[in-house]
Amino acid sequence: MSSQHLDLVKFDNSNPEARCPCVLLVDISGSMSGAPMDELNKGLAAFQQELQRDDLAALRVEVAIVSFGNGVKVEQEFVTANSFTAPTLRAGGNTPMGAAINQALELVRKRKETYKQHGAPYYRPWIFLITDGAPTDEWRSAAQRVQAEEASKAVAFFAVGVQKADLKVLSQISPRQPLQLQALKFSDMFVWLSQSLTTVSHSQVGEQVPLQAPTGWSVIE
Amino acid sequence: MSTESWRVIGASVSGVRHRREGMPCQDYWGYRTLPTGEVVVAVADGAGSAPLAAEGAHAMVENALATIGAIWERYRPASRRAWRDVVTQAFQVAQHRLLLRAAAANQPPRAYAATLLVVIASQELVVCGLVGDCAAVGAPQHGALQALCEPQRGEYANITFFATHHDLGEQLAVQLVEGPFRQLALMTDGLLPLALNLEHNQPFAPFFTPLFAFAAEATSEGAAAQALATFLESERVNQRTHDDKTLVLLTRIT
Repeated sequence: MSSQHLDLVKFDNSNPEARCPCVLLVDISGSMSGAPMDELNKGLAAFQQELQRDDLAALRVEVAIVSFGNGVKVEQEFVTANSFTAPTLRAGGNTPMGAAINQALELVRKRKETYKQHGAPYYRPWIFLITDGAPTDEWRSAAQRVQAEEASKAVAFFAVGVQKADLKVLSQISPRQPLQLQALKFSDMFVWLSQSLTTVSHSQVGEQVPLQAPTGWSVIE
Repeated sequence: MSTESWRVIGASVSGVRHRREGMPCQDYWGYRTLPTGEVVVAVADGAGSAPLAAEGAHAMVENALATIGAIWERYRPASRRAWRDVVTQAFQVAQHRLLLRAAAANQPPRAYAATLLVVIASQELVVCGLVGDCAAVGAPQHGALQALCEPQRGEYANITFFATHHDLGEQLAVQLVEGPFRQLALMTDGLLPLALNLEHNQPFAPFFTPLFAFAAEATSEGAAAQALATFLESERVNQRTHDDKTLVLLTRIT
């Protein structure tokens, strides 16, 4: 019977998994110390747990973390979700948001080059900014770069304000409307983020994924 | 007169996710035997997020086949250049009719978004027209498998181009490949990662060789198509791809 040949069909294993990169850009200035920092760290742990619950997302979503407070620090280089361990961040310093944004955009640019070198398909990178203040450094050039890269669809940039964050400045940085976090619901926010990234990482060619409304953790103004 | 003929075995099946969500299969394929013995095959993949993609894929395939069939009723293109033009016309007519259909239904054309691959196979040469990320592979009389067209991808993994409404002047790629080929395989993107190295567009021989052996030995097209559909729906294929998938195998009978 000719259909026996079908049992012998073998599959190519040389194609790398598609990657879905996300940079968390986190304000750890002194004003975040205490409850906000504790809740943020719990949120990061929830983020790790949620991403690792989905087999495909665990292979495809890549996380990097850039913090800003006492300078700008890459807390976590890009790593796939299945080998991501949430760090415990500590608050201190001021809010060099402009430099941090540039650092995040740079990480994304370099990551795309790596994907191209390895022939790995990838989804549009996300940058997710979380802040409770206003920039203490020069931020307008970084804002212009965000606007340009959003316009050319090079990244998707999201901004979330915590407590007394300056949403006016955030709306000048992010073309998407910044969201205000309800109280300190970091864990709910990170669960939403991991679910959104999971959906993107499952999407097939020709499929633009509608985002779930950020309900349950953000204030709609 | 040419005495060639081709055996065509093909199947489109739903991906596991479409099935789970109760969505129809958005792939479609069809073929016609032309009056002088060649065969034309069309394969389309409707976009996951387009609400009328299944209808779009169906319309694009049928209109492309009808156009080439109608041309062949009058004359068999003589020059290489004319073969190219025929495939280009098939895309133009299919897109034109789709835009009319969309206008009549008061829908945006992207609601029907679908990729399209059209292949005319003859004894001496194969012509491939493509908009999107389908693939075609040929087994020549002698030597290694050959990719007959280059799947088109945008920068991001979920972005491609659609024959329904993207600029054909920019996106349509028509390739003429000199034969003779013993066998050809056409597929939609759901199967691509299993069948080719995507970075180098290199067919994976252990994928195609058993499939071509299967098609060569098949005696009944209907039973073979059923066996092929069963294979495409098998657990081991579904573990590797959740997308809709279409595979069409052509075998030249001498």
